[in-house]
Amino acid sequence: MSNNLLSVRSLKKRFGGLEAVNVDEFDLNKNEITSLIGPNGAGKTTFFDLITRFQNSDSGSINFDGKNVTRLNSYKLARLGMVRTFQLTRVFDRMSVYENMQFAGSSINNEGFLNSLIQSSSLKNQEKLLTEKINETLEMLNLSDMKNSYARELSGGQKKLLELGRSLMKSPKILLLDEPLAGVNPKLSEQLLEIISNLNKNGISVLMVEHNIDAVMKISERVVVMAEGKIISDGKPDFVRSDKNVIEAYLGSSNE
Amino acid sequence: MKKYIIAFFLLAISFMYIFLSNETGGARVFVNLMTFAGIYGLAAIGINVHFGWTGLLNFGHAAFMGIGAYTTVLLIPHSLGREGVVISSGLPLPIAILVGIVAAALLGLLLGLPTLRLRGDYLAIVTIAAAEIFRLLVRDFENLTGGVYGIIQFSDSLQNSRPDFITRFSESYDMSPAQFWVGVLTWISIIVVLLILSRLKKSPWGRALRAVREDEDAVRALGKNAVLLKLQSFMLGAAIGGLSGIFLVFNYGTVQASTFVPVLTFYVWAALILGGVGSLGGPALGAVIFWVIIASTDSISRFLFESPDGQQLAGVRFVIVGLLIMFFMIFRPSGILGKKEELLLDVK
Amino acid sequence: MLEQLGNGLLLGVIIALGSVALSLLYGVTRIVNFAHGEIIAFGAIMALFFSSSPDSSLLYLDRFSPLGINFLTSVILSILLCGVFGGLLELCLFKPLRKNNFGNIAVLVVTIGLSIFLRHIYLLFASAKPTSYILELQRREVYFGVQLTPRNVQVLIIGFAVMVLVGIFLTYTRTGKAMRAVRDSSDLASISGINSDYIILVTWVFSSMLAGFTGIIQGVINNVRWNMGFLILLLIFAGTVLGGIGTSFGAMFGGFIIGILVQLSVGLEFMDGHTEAKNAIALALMIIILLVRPQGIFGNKDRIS
Repeated sequence: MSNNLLSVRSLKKRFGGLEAVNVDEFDLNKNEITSLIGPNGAGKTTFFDLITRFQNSDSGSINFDGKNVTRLNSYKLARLGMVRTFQLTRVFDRMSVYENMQFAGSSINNEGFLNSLIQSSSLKNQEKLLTEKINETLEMLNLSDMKNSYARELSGGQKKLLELGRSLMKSPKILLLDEPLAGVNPKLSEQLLEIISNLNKNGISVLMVEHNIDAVMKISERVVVMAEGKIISDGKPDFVRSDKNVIEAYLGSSNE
Repeated sequence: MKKYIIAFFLLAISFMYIFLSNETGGARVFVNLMTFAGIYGLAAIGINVHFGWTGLLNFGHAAFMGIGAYTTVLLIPHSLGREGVVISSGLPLPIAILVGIVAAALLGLLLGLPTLRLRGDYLAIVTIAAAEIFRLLVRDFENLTGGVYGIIQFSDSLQNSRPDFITRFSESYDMSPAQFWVGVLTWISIIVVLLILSRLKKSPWGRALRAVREDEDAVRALGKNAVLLKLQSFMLGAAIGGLSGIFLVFNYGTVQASTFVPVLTFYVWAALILGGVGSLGGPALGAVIFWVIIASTDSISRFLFESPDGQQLAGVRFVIVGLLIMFFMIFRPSGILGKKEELLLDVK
Repeated sequence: MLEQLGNGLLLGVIIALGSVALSLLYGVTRIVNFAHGEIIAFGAIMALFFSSSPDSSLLYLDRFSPLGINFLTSVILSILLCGVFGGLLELCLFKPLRKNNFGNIAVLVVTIGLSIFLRHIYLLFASAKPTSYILELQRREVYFGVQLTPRNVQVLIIGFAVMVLVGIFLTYTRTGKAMRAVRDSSDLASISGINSDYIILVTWVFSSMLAGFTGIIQGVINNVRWNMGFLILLLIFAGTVLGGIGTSFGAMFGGFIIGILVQLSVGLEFMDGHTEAKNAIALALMIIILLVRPQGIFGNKDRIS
């Protein structure tokens, strides 16, 4: 049984005259925490969008769990187990925290128009079972108190936690986090990092785009560095930290 | 809660006003008003599903109302166009109504499928344009629709089913039995539709729709098909609109292309905004209050102009409609029964 | 078909002017202004009020007679008045809405209410009958195979010239460049020291003056009525969408194409006996463009979603 979850080959994307992404080879395995770092403009977010199918690639292939998903709709890919979050949190403002989680966990069948109209006993049962999972997750994220508040009343950090919680309701195989620590205070960062590390123990692979290098080095088993659309380094944190190419890329683009 | 008390008072005052300002024939005026209010309320419930539940801007509702009306009437005995071509056979009314509703839903599918991925304000323009195309086509294809002459002599299909006790009741209070019957059926339909919608609102589907309204990308990232959800909502609102259109033409007794014009859509929107976007009963309440206001504008006209002619009556009426829409959108966008926390104001 | 070309050009210049004005406003403020037609009508009605003879049967609000000023002066006064109107709309209505964080959708519904309100104020204020300016009747003559009156030709030339001037203004003057900067990126613009509020005000004034001019042109070519703005509003949307929302040259181009298309379609065979539906073709085209290439012919892709 293969350990490989995601396999990207020759993925390219151009915007006008600019080559935003040109990745020859990229693989993600089960149970890994991988960080994607690189100077601004390196193409990390675009790469993220491409592999989660929120943008169309110009050429290349993407395989997830053995299936060719290169042209698959983003929502279908999410259903297969690739769940992502967003740089600017996208919680459902005018729904309660609990409803946010309910939506995430609710089965697609139950959300069918007819099924919702009829509301069979099995639908009602499934909704009840959801309650347990929601409460557990909220407990882990320290959001239980805010269960019935509108999502928009949460603080910035709490919204990040909610977005994470929602994603977890999907029982993802790969969790893709787009700058999970952006704008988050140090204490909450610690908390988030701990949660992310623990996820790994539950068999979820994590790929995160991050600028916070300390955090990255602390919890990642593997670090991938992008610059100018290409992957320039890939390996254990210590290896990458002292890789000449990486140092050049960061110094060369006068960043951070 | 406070807003329900306010709503109750507004209704009470409105009804008192109607009966007080019409010493004779108060009941007749009341039935007329409530029937129109019911019809517009039902239509407004339809666009509430679009806008209040899903955040879709549909300014072409008149087309859905129109296609429901035309389809149904053409399927029952009627008389068509300038020559008065008589078609004396047809489907049983309940089936014709069902087909009309389905036709409206299908138009929703046809229109929605390509356009629902458009951004909010563009969808508004597209729906207005589509409704305008519908109106122009209906007006021009006279052989099919009777064109500007329209369709008449179809009411019997509905009035034949009117129970005797209804007829006796309305005659004893000097109301039009035919209109009373349409009114009764309309309000029964509103209750049935609201029961169904209430069930849907609390269901997983209704919840999913609200999520789509909030953030479509997040919905996709969580594995749900946002476009399908929007399409289903669009078809549902269209179907409800279709039903309201059917009642509208039975109320008039004729179908004409000039009925389904943008003004109709704007009236329905005014009723929705007034009553409360997103709330279940709001649209119906808004329609009643709206029609009372419209009825009272005639007295305002008489105050402003000594003996106002038709043009001036219409003018004052619409000036007030315009002001209502603006006023409520700016100062009280949640209307009478809407929830303030659920407003769509800061959607950019 | 060729005989419709003349009508097409005339309709085209009206729509083109209206589209340039709308596109300018939308580009800078991101507002889809449904009351745009009413500003157009305002220009036409004001020019009528100023220029009609006091002994004509026109009475405004059953009380006021027209002023009988000469036509050219009336036109200028009317355009200036439109500018004031637009400025007041911005200062008293749209700016407060903007400052209170009203989103595009809410503002759009407000403009719909405004449009209904204004249109019927005109109905009450002016007469419901279509009225014409006091200009001598002319006969159609043939120019390059197309039948037009001499005045129509003048109108076409003036209209075209105005649009070219607008283009020059936007490209070469400081204010014009500032307007384009705010249009392309309001954040960057404010960083470079451009006062957004001022530019938005200027845009409203400018766009309204242009709209008023459009109305007068429409009044000269056809006639003046209370709902004249509403009648062409959808076609103006079509022209703007076709040419590219937010581009002035595109709007002008799109406007002309729509106008010509609408009139030429009258000559098509399947349209026999269905001439009223000519607008439907332009509207259908607009819908198709929005689906297939929403940025229009000349617009930029990133402005759409």
